[in-house]
Amino acid sequence: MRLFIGANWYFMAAAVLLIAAFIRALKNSAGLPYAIKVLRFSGAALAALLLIRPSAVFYRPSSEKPALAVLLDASFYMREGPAGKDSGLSKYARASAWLAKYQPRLSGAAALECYAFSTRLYKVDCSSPSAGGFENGFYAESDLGRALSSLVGGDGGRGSACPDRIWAFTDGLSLSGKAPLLIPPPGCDKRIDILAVGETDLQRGVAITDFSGPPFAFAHIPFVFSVSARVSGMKDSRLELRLKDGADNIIETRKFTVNSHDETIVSSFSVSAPSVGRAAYTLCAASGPGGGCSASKALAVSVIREKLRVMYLAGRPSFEYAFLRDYLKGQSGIDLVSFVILRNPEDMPGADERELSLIPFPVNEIFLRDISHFDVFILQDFDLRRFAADGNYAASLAEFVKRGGGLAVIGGASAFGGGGYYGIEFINSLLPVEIEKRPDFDEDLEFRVAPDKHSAALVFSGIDNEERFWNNTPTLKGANIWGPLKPGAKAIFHYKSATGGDAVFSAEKSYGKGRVMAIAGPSTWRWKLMGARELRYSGLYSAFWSRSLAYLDGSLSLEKVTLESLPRSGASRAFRLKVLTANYLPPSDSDAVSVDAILEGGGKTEPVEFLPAGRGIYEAAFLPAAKGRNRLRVSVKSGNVYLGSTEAVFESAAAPGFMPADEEVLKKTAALMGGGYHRLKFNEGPEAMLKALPPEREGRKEVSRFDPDTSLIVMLLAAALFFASWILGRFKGLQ
Amino acid sequence: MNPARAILTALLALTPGVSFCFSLTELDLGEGCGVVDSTRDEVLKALAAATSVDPDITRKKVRLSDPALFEEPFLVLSCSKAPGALNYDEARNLHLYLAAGGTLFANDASGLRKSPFSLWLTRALEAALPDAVLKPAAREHPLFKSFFMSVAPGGRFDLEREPSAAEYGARYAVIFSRNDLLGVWPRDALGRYLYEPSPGGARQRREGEKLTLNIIIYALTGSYKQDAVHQPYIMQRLRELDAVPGARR
Repeated sequence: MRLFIGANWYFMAAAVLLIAAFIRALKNSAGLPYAIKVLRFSGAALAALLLIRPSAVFYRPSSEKPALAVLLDASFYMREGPAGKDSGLSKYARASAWLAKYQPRLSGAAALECYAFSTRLYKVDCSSPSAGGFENGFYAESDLGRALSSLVGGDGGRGSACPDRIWAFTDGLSLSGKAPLLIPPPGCDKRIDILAVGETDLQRGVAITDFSGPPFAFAHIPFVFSVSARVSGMKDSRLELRLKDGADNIIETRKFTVNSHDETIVSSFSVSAPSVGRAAYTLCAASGPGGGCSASKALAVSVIREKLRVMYLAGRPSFEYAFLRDYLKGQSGIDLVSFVILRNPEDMPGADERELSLIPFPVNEIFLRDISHFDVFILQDFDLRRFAADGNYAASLAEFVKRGGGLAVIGGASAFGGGGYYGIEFINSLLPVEIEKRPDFDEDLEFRVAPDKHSAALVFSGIDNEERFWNNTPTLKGANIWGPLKPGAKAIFHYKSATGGDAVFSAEKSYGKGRVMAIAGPSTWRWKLMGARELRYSGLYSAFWSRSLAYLDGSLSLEKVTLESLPRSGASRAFRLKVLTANYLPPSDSDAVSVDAILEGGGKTEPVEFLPAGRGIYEAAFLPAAKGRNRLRVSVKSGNVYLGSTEAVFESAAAPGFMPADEEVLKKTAALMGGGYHRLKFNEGPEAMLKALPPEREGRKEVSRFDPDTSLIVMLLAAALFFASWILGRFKGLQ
Repeated sequence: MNPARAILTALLALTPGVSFCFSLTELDLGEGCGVVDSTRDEVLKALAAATSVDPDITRKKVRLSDPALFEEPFLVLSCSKAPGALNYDEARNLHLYLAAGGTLFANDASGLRKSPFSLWLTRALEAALPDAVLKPAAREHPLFKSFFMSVAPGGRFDLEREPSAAEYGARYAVIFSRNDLLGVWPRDALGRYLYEPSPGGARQRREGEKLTLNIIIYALTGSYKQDAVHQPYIMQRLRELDAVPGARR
């Protein structure tokens, strides 16, 4: 038996004061009969005793089972994913069935409590854990860390100290790729065992588990691909990871020796894309040198320009050269290298060579050695027969375009017909127009151009009264008179010829991967100088060249707003939005980009918030609006300028296919928890794991308890004592 | 017709594929200003002979109020006296012209260190280009090496070591010579020079000729010659960037 006092200190003090006051009062009552004093004191003592709320507890010796908490992972992967490749049973059902089967044995060995957890912790019946309803967490991944802290700290769990043992049944897929890994809650160190649910084995071979790169890459600027491959059952064999470009050419190869039966090889490739656009890459994992791909994964990267590399070659000094060079030099996004022929071989400067500042024209370097370092090559009024007579130079220029370069050929007296381009097969085949054998430049021709239906002609979008705008532009002067467009070529701008018909001022044609633009005259500078008189034409010159260069380097083929789905297991969906400004560059803060996105599905419309994840990158993750078809619509603006819109359609709630348990993560987690790692096998009982339970503790069991303050007998006794004292006083004649 | 002019005209007419990409257009500000025919002919003849530029020998004059002003990216203003003050429209047009890329070559033919013309030009530029002031051109500027290596003062007079210039938009929009650069060019009908440069004589004349042609080539190529300094560095950087796998086209 043990005695307890239930009152706090001030009730105990009050009881002591009560007894002391009573004794003092009795001492001062000299004539009071002794029997009455005894009765009154007894009553007061009993009242003081009730005040301190004593209790007596009676025990008998007994043994106590260790506490065992079972946590069942109720993530989407567990509840929907099959336990094996050929299994029709989900992992959660497999774990529940095992628990139900061995529940009597577990209950016999431990004080068993069962919980299911996803984003929250739910107590479930150990004999039928599947019956628990947790629809709120249906789509969710699970959070073991939160479940453990809820279990120990309350919040739906036991609300007490850590159980003697915790078994977490999980496939580890919700833990994959998460950082940091879990740490045990206070008091639970070395008490948590991890039980892997579902098959863990991959087939013998190679699987590419990661092949990722940046959402944007700048042309010519190196960027990195992260790669990892899981190799099973191939110990001591050789593995090659090959990075290939879109044309299936190997860019780089990494070689490894596999050191264990199950190994994840992590590596990276640093590459750079030569031109703007979507660059496709493939990672191939091959067993040994020369072997075919055992596994491969494809990835496309949006390549934009940080710096456009322009080579500008002019056949003579001219105002076209001075103005265009000045414009190109003034663009922070352009690296310009330019050369102009200042003196022809027949010119006689009448001075010693040392008095001249001229350098030899580096024709070999420009056309052969360094041409591949440029994105756009501008050739203006340039007589190739005089300065690049060797056919190799023209062939190199054609090869440059074929491989993806942009070529602008600007006219003049020494270009096209006057430059002998007709007779230079490589050059002639590049041009989008038929040209004459003879000089074709009319320097007195004065004309106004008008745009054709071509993306490169959209120099100003949304101008009012477009026809009137182009009818009043500053005139251009001097043009090469061309023949008709070649097959596949498109006109960009035209003008009225002397005969009244339409003549082509600029045209383009694709050649290989590249583009060629021909511009008939070297007088676009007039748009700048003459445009100064009228505000609405002041931007025409820069807009024309900006648009032309964007066409030549491929930027015009880029979408300003693109949406791509991010890999994400489970029912939630993640999307990445990539935004380029009107100049085809990622926006900065000053561009004030705003994204409006809505998700439609099942008749519902919900807003979606895209959060910035880098310059020009926005990401959103959300649950589908409804089962079945969902549509994500996105619209992007920069300030008040509309940049574009896009949408993605996806199906929701498709049951995931078989995904093996992530044994590597589970083992790491078990090691961090200080507990054991086990694989759940239906026909294998819990005996091995039960051995980790502490033995039953020797203890005592409460048999009964006596609380005087709640006892009616004690209350009646106190009342009887006071009543007897009063009756006796009356008999003794006391008032 | 001046014999030199006749020869030049014939030569240019016979050259196949010629396009006149440059003309020495005068800014017409009235009395006290102008370029004599002989000067223009000699300058253009030298330009055609020394460089790949095919000049237009037609005499052209434009006024600041003339819309044709904006069709001539290079203007010459040679004065021995101060022209009349510019009105608002003329000053505005001069501003628009220079800001949009036009170049003005002002030549002081007076031979005075502080001439009425130089004072007029300073005032005119204060109105037209308030942010740009005339300062001696930097010796390392491409102006002095756009075609010839110009190492010494030149011109009919020796009043300054180098011409002054007003910079606008990272280029010399106005170039002003007090040494009368154009004064070294004119000849009489017998081919003799009209003026003898003082005190340097023939050497000073030759430097004046070189600088005149340099100014024209500068207007036609900008600071192209400065690129030559940077281009090896740019090319080296591009080659280094392209050393990364997959980068070369």
